[in-house]
Amino acid sequence: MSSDMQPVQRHWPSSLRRGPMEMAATAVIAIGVLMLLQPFSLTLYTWSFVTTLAGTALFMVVSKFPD
Amino acid sequence: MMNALDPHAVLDKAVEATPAPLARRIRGLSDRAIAWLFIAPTIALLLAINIFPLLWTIRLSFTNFRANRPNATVAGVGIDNYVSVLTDPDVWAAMQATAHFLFWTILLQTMLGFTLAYLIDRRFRGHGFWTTVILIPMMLSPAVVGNFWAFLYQPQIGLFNYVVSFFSGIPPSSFEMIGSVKLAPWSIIIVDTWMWTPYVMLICLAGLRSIPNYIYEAAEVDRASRWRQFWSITLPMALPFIMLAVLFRGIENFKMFDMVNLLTSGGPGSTTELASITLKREAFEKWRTGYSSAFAIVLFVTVFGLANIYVKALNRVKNR
Repeated sequence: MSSDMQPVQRHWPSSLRRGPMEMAATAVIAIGVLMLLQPFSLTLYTWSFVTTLAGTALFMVVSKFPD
Repeated sequence: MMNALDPHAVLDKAVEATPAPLARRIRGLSDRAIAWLFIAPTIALLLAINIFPLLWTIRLSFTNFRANRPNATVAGVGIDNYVSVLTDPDVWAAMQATAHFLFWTILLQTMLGFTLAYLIDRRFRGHGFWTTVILIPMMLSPAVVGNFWAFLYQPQIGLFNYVVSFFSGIPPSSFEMIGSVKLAPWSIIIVDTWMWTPYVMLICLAGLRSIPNYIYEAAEVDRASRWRQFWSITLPMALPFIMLAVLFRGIENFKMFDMVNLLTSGGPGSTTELASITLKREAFEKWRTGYSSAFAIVLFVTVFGLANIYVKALNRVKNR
C-alpha cells in the first residue's frame, strides 16, 4: 500500500449516531416504566412490558453504534 | 530476608515446585489461554447461579408448571402467562402500591439527602462525627431494621407513637401505623427513608465536593448572592450525582422485599403488597410457578431497562 492511499471511510448516517439514539431508547424505556406504574389505564399497563422490552432491546443495539 | 522477597527467587521456587507434566502443559499455553484459565471458574459460577436460572425462568414462563406438582404433565401455554400477568387487576394494584412507595421514598430521600449533604459540606465543627452518626442506619441489615421498626410502631409500647403523641397531643394508642390501611403505606416509606437517606447524602456529598472552589470565587467577585450561587452553580453541577442516586434508589426500591416483608408482610389486606411480595405469594403460596416466572421476567426487564439508564448516567458522571 502506497503512503498516499487513504483508508476507506465508511459513511454512517448522522441521524443514527449513538448519542441521540441512546437518548431515544432511554425515553422509550422511561415511557414503558411509567406505563407500568401509572394508575389510570389498564390498557397502558398491558402494553408497558412490550414498550420496556422494545426500549431495552433498542438500547442494547444502538449502544454499539459509532459516536 | 531480601532474598525471600526477590521476585525472581519466588518465581524460581514456583517453577521448581510445579510438577513436570503440568509445567510442560502450561508452557504450551498462550497468555490469552492462561487468562481464560484464570477467569473460567468465575464464568462457570456466573453461568450456574445467574444465567442458567434466568434461562430456566424464561422457559418456565411459557409453561403451566407448578413446583408443588413436579410429576404433573408440563404443557406449553405460549404467552398466556404474560397476558394473565399484564391484564390482572391485582398485579396492577401491586404495581400501583410499588409506584406510591417509589415516588415518596425517592422524593423524600433526595430532598433530605441533598439537604444533609449541603449542611455537612459546610464543614462545621464536628461534621465528621455527625457524618458517621447519620450513616449508621445504612449499615444495618434490612432484616434487623424491619424487626426493630415493628417494635417501634407498636401502639402500646412503641416509641414512635409516643414521639408523635408528644408533638401532636394525640393519644399514643389511638393510632396504629402497621395495622391501619391509611397509615401502613406511610410506615414502610418512613422506614425506607430513615434507612437510605444517608446513602443519597453520601452521593450528593461526593457531587458537592467535586465542584471546584474557583467557580464560587468567581461568583463572589461578580457579587452573586448565596441564593444565586446555589441555583446557578451548586444545583446544576450536583445534578448528575442526584440523578445517579435517584436511579439507584429507584432500581433498589422497585425490587424491595425483605424490609417490607418483615414489617407488614404486605398487609393490612394488600395495601403494602409491593410487586416483589405479590411475586413471592404467587410463586410460593399459590404455587403458580409458570405464571410467577412470567411475572419475574416482567420485573427483570423493567429493572434491566432502568439499569441501562443508570449505567449511562454513571458514565456521564465519570466523564465529567
